[in-house]
Amino acid sequence: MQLTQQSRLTRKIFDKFSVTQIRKHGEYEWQDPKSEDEVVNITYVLKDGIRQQVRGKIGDNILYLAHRYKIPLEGACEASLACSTCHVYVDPKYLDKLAEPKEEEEDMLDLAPFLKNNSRLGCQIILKKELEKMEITLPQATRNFYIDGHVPEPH
Amino acid sequence: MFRLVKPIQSLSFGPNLNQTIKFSSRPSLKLGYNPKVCIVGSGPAALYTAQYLLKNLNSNNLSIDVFEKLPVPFGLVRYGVAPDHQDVKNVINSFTETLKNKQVNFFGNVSIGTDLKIGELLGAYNSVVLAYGSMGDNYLNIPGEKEFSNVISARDIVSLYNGLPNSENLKIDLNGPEAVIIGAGNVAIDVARMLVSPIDKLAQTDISSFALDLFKSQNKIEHVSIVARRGVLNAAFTLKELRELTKLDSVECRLDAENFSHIDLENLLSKLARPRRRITEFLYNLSQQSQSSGPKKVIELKFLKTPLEILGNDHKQVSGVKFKNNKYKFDLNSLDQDLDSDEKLSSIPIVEDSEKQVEVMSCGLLVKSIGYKNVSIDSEIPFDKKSGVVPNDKGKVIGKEGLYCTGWIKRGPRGVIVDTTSDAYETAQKLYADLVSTGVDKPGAEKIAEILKKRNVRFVDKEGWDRIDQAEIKRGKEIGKPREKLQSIDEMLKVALEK
Repeated sequence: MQLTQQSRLTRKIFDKFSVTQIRKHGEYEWQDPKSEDEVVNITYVLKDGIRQQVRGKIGDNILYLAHRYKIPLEGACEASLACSTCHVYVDPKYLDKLAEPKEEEEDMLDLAPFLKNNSRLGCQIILKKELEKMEITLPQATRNFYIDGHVPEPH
Repeated sequence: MFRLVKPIQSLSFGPNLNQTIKFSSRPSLKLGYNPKVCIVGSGPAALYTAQYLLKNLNSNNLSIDVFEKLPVPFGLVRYGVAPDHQDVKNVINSFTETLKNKQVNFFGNVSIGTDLKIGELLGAYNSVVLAYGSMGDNYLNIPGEKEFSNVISARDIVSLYNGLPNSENLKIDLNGPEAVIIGAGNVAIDVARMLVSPIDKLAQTDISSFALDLFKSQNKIEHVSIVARRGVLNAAFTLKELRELTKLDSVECRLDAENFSHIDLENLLSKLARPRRRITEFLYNLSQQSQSSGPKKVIELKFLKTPLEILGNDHKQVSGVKFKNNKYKFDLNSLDQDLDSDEKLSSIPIVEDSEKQVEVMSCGLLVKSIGYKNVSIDSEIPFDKKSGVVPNDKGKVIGKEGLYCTGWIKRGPRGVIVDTTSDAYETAQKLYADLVSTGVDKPGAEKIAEILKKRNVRFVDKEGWDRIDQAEIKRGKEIGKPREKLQSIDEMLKVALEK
């Protein structure tokens, strides 16, 4: 946990001085679990229904963990609660195990297409042991699809 | 004509089994030619399209050239997002990575339509993507609009505080003490917030030095009214921005309780979709707050007012706006229908409220924040004046082979970054499918650089942009700002091109 805090702090300090300096976000998520005690297995369900199991660890951020495993989850504002591009659905069984969303997260979720009761922002979910076997589902389609009602042809 | 190393049946775009689960052994899709794509514009719509193509056309022979009118990239992320919203600008980090990809070229300081024609781009590239956004403004079309000074479009103020080249020429008087903003979207909120924010707070952002000095020396605005034609249920701003207004130090945000006086709130809230319900509840709570009498600046939200005429003083400067009052045509409490989308809410008609008199709001500054408008930049681009967009089928321009569009020019100037993301992916998917199905080798950047040279157009490449970027960050550091933008194009070109 300490490491996450440290890297977030570094980010904050960096942010003060530089906007465009390229930094690898989610350095922590790129570290392998040091022991089995740390491991939290979760499953991402992709837009086309494919299930991808990921071996995460305590303290991992769902957004950056997804990036490590090349799961197509956007994170435009880099977890600063200024966009809703990392919108996901959380397995309802696990919803109560997560920390309550902040007002700012709720405000951003309002803008997310296909909002559901189990919607959260991926960047606000940090893995802990109780989240073992949690499923995270990526939203199906785009807002355009929602407005004009057309069904995208299968790829 | 074309050859695929992999049979086409096994291809797929978007996330698929091969790309995600077995990402270590991704199929290498190699087309029988070297596809060359160019994108007109370098904001979010442009760079999300580029990102998608780079990610999914998993081949080193794709090249993408990004054309930008200014010497510097990122469009409205740089020049639209308010300086005190640095978090929103974080997206620049991933855009910078995209631009630095060796398959991507940057042509800054090149205006399509004047320096280069669309026809020339279509000749040099397999696909041309229009992502140049919305460059026009809407007008109120009421008496006085063009007659009096200090009637200013929100775009010009946004450009001013963001340091867009030439924005410093704007003639603006901030002596106030009252300002009226017509329109109630997030841009209106941004402008209102910037006008009343404490100067020391602004000094820590990447606000232009010109604007900072101007605000410091002459901003005496104490009271800002944000005025909307329709009612509380139709406010176009989002809750995050509104909430921020109410949390500003030394600023009081007001909404008259009368806005909810004839509304059965619980009944109404139960009919609304979540986002609208939350913002309506927030507005209601705001309307119930008692006004303080402290020495605070005030931002007041006013609904159901249509501007009729702009009034001026002897010096030909705006002195006020005349409004008529509106009401919803139906009693909101008796509406049975579902009100679960903003489309349905905006279809509730409003009519003039004849019981109320025409009123005049006095102001020394009038800001028009009534939306942007798309324009065509080249007569060869199909453009539907009525709908204000380039006619397209999921991003493929109808009536011009090889031409695509994305972002505001595709769907109109509204929405936040997440809308642009999904919209850009849709266009990129369409483009990708066309690139895979057929294509021949095109001359691309080489040809274009040759034409530009012949026309004496000095363009800024990636290295040039990097020099500007470094110079801005360095200058910012010296004065405690995240960056100090170079204000003039000449200065940018000097830094970029003179090594």
